[in-house]
Amino acid sequence: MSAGTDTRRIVLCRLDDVPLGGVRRVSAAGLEPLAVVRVDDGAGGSVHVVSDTCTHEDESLSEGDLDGTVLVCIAHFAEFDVRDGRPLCFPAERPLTVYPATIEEGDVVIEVEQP
Amino acid sequence: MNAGLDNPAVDELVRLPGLDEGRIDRRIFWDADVYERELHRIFARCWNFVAHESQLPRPGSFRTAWLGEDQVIVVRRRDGSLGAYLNSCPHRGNRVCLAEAGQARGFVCNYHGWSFGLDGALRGMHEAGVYDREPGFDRGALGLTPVAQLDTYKGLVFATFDAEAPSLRDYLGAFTYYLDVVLDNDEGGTEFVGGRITSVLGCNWKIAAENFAGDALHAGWTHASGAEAMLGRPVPSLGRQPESYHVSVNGHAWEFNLDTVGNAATLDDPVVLDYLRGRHADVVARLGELRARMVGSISSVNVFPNFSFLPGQNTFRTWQPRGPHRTELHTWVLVNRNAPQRVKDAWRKGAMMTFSPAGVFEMDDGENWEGATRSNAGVVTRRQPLHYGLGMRSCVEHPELPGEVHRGQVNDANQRALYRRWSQLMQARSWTELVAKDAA
Repeated sequence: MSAGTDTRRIVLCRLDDVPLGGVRRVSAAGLEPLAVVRVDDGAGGSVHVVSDTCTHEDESLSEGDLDGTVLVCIAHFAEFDVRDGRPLCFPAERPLTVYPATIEEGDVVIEVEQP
Repeated sequence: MNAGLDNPAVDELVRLPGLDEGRIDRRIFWDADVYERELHRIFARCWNFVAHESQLPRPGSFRTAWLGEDQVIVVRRRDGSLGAYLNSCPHRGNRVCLAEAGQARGFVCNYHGWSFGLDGALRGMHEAGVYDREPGFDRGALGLTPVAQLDTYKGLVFATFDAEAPSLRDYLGAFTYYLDVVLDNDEGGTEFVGGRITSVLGCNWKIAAENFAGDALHAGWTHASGAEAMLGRPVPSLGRQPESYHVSVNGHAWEFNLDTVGNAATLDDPVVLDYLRGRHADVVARLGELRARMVGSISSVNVFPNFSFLPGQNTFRTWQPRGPHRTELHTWVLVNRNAPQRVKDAWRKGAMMTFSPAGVFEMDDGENWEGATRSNAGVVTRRQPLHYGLGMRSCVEHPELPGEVHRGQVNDANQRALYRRWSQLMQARSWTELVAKDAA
């Protein structure tokens, strides 16, 4: 933790609220809408949290498809890799924001900087 | 004002006044106004074949298909049901799907990014925010236009743009008795193998459709050299077959004899013949002796208006109209789903060798049909009616065969039946009017 900043711990949802291979939209005070993504990696699943709004148009990515680690927007089929947020095809050109997440006693938790 | 629909000269022409004396006016193969009326009253009205269910295995599987010159996207939706929509964006009209077939999450117009789901609903637009601020803009009213009805018969998918059209079962009527010969001779049903072969013929679509509806006569003449090449002998004389027929129901037509494997033999592959002979007892148990002998016999079929196939060669095709003098031919190969892979392969290759743009029989036909169409450019030539007068007194009652049955497969009865249905549809202002006449 660097000097001059605090971090805020935010519980987004229960892990069980997100189906394996699925996406859930969550909101947290002071933050943009977020997508909690549970990738079916064949080893119990890995959890990723990214911004829920497509960087092309105002569309909720949690309405779209999850194909492995690729989140697909329902509107124009823009694709993002949920592990690093990078856009994979037109019309997406800017990455999603990634929020490193941990699982604590069954909760999906992120930590955000708080000035 | 529409020169095809509101035109007393076309009204008179499509009555086909000489049909019951075995004459047809050549102008129905040439006139642009007749063609325009066909698009409205035949293709926008009838049940058109659009796909085999095996071509749409998963949600997102799609094919493009044609009902006349209207193109549709046929798609397996997320809930597993089938849908079909006009392939034209409601914004500026461009195609939203450029592929013949594939797997998609939805369809995005290449022009302005209007995007549609597998259910045809509008999902998004480029610069969506601008639209969302537009008063009265309603996404819900701007999906792709669906067909009026879509249904399947034993794996075959059909669609119609006419909400008044009778159900598919009623449209096919007793013809299902015959369709089951190819669609239901095995408990596993059927599938299409391989892709679609597309070619273009410089002919009117009806000349191709009527050939498959009933033209056994041309086989031994047109295809003599092809038969020599594939079989080492000519096509047998079909005029002397004691047990051969023209049958029709609602304009759908099947000509056949009962030689069991005559068509299949032209593939010149023992794998196919051994399969058919090996299954004969099972097919008899399933369909009866009579229909078991139709499975691969010398025969041809047209489902009104433009969906044809050949039992035995198993080539399935649609004759897509592209103007009065041009037809796009789409072909596929049908096999039993439970057939061994080597049998499926033999049929796929055999159909390619015989009925494909480079097939020995397909080439023979195209040449003739183009000639039969182009000659009508002559204004004096067009005044000479064509002869459809074979088998005028061949109609019989048959103890087993349903529909209108004529003895003798060298006959014009099925062709007349096709044109009678064509004439009825071309005159009727609606399906309701036509169904009332059928019942009377």
